[in-house]
Amino acid sequence: MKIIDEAIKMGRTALSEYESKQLLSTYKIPVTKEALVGNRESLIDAIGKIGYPVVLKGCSPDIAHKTEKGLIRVDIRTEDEALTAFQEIHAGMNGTENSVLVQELIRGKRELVAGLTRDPQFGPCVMFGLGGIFTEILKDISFRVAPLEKYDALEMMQEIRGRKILDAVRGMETVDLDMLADIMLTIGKIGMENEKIKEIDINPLIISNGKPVAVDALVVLLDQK
Amino acid sequence: MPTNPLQTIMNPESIVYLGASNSLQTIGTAQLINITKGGYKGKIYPIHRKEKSVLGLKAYPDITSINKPADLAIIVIPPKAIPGVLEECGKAGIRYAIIITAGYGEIGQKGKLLQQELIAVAQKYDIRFLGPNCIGIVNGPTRLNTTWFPSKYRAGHVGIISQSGSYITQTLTYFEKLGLGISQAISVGNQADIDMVECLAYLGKDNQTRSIALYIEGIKNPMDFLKTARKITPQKPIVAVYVGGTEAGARACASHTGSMAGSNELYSGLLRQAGIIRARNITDLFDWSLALAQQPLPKGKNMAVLTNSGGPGSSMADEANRHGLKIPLFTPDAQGKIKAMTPFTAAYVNPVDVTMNYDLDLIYKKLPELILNLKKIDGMLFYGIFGTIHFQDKIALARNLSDIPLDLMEQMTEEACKEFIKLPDKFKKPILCVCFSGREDNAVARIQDGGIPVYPTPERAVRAMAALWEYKKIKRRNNF
Repeated sequence: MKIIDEAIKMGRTALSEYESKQLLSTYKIPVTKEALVGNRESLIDAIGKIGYPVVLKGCSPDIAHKTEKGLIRVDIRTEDEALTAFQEIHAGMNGTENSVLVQELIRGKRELVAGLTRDPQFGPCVMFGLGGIFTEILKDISFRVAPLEKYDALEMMQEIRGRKILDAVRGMETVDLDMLADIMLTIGKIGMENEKIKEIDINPLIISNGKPVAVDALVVLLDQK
Repeated sequence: MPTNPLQTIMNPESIVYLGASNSLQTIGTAQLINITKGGYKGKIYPIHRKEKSVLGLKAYPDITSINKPADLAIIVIPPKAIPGVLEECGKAGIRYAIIITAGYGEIGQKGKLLQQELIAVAQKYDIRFLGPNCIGIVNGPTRLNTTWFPSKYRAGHVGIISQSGSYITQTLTYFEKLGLGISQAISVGNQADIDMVECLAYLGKDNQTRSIALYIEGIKNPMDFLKTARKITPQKPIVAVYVGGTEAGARACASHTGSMAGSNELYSGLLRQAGIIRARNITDLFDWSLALAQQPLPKGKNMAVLTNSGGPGSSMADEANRHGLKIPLFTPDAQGKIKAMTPFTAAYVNPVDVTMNYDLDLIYKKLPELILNLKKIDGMLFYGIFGTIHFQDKIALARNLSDIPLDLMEQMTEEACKEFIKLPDKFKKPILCVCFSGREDNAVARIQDGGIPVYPTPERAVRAMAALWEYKKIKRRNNF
């Protein structure tokens, strides 16, 4: 893939969030509507297409954990808020070109994780589990070796301890399991077709109106050295 | 497609044996005794440089001087002599070997080189071998036992593939107590040539084997493993223990069989993907394999508990709910019938607790038949085996009170057990039993021998039942 080859040529070991989602999007995994902007004009222009409320994030292949650096502003509803946030993040990114990502705000209380890890013995393995901060705290995840069958993906969802999160709980809609399963099958496919990908981490994969959307994503590449 | 090498390794018509003498101080001698005294019917050619005979068999100074074809070489000699011996095997036309000797890939770099040398010689002569660093094989029906532990074991329907020799040899006495019979057991050791996948493929096709137990420290070729297992599990259940998923476990596995361990979650995923039931420990591995080999599968998860004692009955009901099984209330109609048949102290809604009771016909026949006949019930958990041995104890303790007709009781127990063991087949529903006494209780032995597993604690019987249900779901999963 072109994005991957170019990143490797530049000696990078990861794709930025924006690039990662472009890659996912090529494979028809639903991602947030978003644009990469470098100045106030392009910011306002992008918001015009995406629509309030938006999220602004610092975007670079070097920053894997944005929240820890404070380079993220959520639920921005006005131009004033947007411009202030842009200035702060842009400064935090040391003025790197086109370094601010503006994206639609996805509302949903349920955060999942889906991803890929390339094991030296098992090859590409697909991961699924509870997302957001719970990924690290609860480690409620399950794996399958790629390629997956549909029933593998459906079984993975039944395997996690927090599986009830996928049901119609607390007035929320049932999660579209078919769509979720297809995402996992696709992740396996990406791993099979792109040997230079070491890891994919879609976290959070937010459930919005019953449908999963990749809100943050990171693709890690194999170190070519 | 080439013939699976296990075909000959498990069923050799003749064996060349290297490493036995007339001294019990060598491991090789102890293992050869098992072969000669265990009931193996084939020819055995021991090799010994000095002795004219070994354990009463004519001995040969080397392989060439046997001058007859042989199917299999079993090798229990020091590592440095083995490449030469393999060469000799090759030249004599022996195409299969079991290399028991340790000191190869599992001891580090030096051993890995020695192992490479073995592989190179074997490839040169098209020799397929099991090991090194293994204990060999046990063939239940043909009574070929190349392992160290005594040959008192039963033939049955559980196939075992193990990366530890102990789990197919030191466990033989344990299996005997559990009433578990072996079809074929294979210790794969370092898997330098033949690996677990080939063993799986072999047991998958073996008609004697109805369930397969796997002890795994590390899988060499996960993709081949997955492909092969996935073909087997829709027809034949596989249960596996994997012990390399913790830091300490991985370290132990590396030094034991030179295995590269992988993350616990990855293995869980791979096993599930293959349709393999993962057992948490050795106890469950063999308990579940036994139940899967001997009992019909439940069509659903609704179980009945029949007991003559409250505690074990409650333990079973509680454990059942923890493992995804249901203990549903019987219909009012069924409850009425049970109530009418049982003493006023009895519980009749499920569990059915008949309380202490010697009415064998009631416990072993009338109630089980009524319960298993219920549409809603998919299987039965049973506590209440009580053989005549316990009366013998009482008679021995109080000789002046010998008014119990022991002969008649033994006859009645035999009759009751004989009817009881027919039930799973008659109703096509599984029964698993619990008894704190072992096979010293004649009724326990009779029921185990009749094909119904009897476990020593309530929880073990329940978990085995849950494994039957788990396998039923695996069989159905293509219709997910």
